[in-house]
Amino acid sequence: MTRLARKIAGESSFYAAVITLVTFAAFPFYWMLITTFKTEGDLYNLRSNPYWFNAEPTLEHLRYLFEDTLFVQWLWNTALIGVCVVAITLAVAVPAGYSLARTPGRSGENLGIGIFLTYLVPPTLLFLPLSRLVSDFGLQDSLWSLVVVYPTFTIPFCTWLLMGFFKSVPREIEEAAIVDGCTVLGAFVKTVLPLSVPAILTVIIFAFTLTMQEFVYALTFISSSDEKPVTLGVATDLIRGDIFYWGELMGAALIASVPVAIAYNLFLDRFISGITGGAVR
Amino acid sequence: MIAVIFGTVFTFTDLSVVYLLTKGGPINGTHVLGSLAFQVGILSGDVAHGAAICLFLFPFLLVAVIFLLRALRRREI
Repeated sequence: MTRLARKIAGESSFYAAVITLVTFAAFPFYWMLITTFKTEGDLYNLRSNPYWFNAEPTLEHLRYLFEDTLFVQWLWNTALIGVCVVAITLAVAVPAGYSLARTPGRSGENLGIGIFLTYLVPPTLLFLPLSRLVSDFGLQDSLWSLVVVYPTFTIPFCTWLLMGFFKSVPREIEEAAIVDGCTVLGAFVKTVLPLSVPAILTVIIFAFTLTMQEFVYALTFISSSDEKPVTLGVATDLIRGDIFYWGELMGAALIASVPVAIAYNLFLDRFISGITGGAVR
Repeated sequence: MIAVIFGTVFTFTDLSVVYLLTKGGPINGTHVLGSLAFQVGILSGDVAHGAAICLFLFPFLLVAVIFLLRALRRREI
């Protein structure tokens, strides 16, 4: 009987913890969702219950967002920047990670750590010198400046991630391919790449989210509205002085974050194996 | 351990949250080094001054990086 009671207590405390965590994680989304559809009067009335609709839900905020701001353009810009950055990152990080993983001795290891350290040098230190560079290249106020700059933090991180993964791919597979007549490059493309699809997917998602959530560089380099990525556009064009367009802000945040959240969940298993593969080496 | 260092570095250098919430806020009272550097260096156009402010972050980051390297080494052995 006591054992049963203890088991019930253990299970219920486990589920209580899970429920608390889930609420903690999901609440911002709920908040965004209901704020998006609330009327202005409902939002600013301090007496009304903030957790639910007190007036009729409205689509006015979404209409404003899509018709009277450049929101669609911003989403587009973000997607464009993201795709370009992911392409650049893959083109550099896959060969780099592979060669670092196959460099014999400790030098490859140390080089890998060195590359990772460059990721630790934060944008906060770099945005001033980079802003000078960007204006020297004549890229200021253009989203291409971001395409050039974002790989500076995606490449080190992804190289490190891929290096960890490639190390876990047994070398014998490539050697077998070489014995069967492949060149070194051919062996890499035909045997290692197909095996590392999970890692590459991880890298794609990582690079894309890093690009999406980056704010400092975009804020520094871009000021005209139609070149902004979504984070910057939402934060600068929907907050005017002291006036926060809460409904539009929340709607925009929701629309921009939900696809990423879904992508994360779809790839969650592979994602975790990618990360821990990198961590354990 | 590594997560702690990471958290420290990225919190220490995060300026977007400060910028969004208060913009350095009433009479520059809520600036962190990063947001102050942004304001001076970009908004006021005094790049050299901003860079000097940023450079103040460097010693702190250096210490964090040294700790990180040592933690990594230890885990390899």
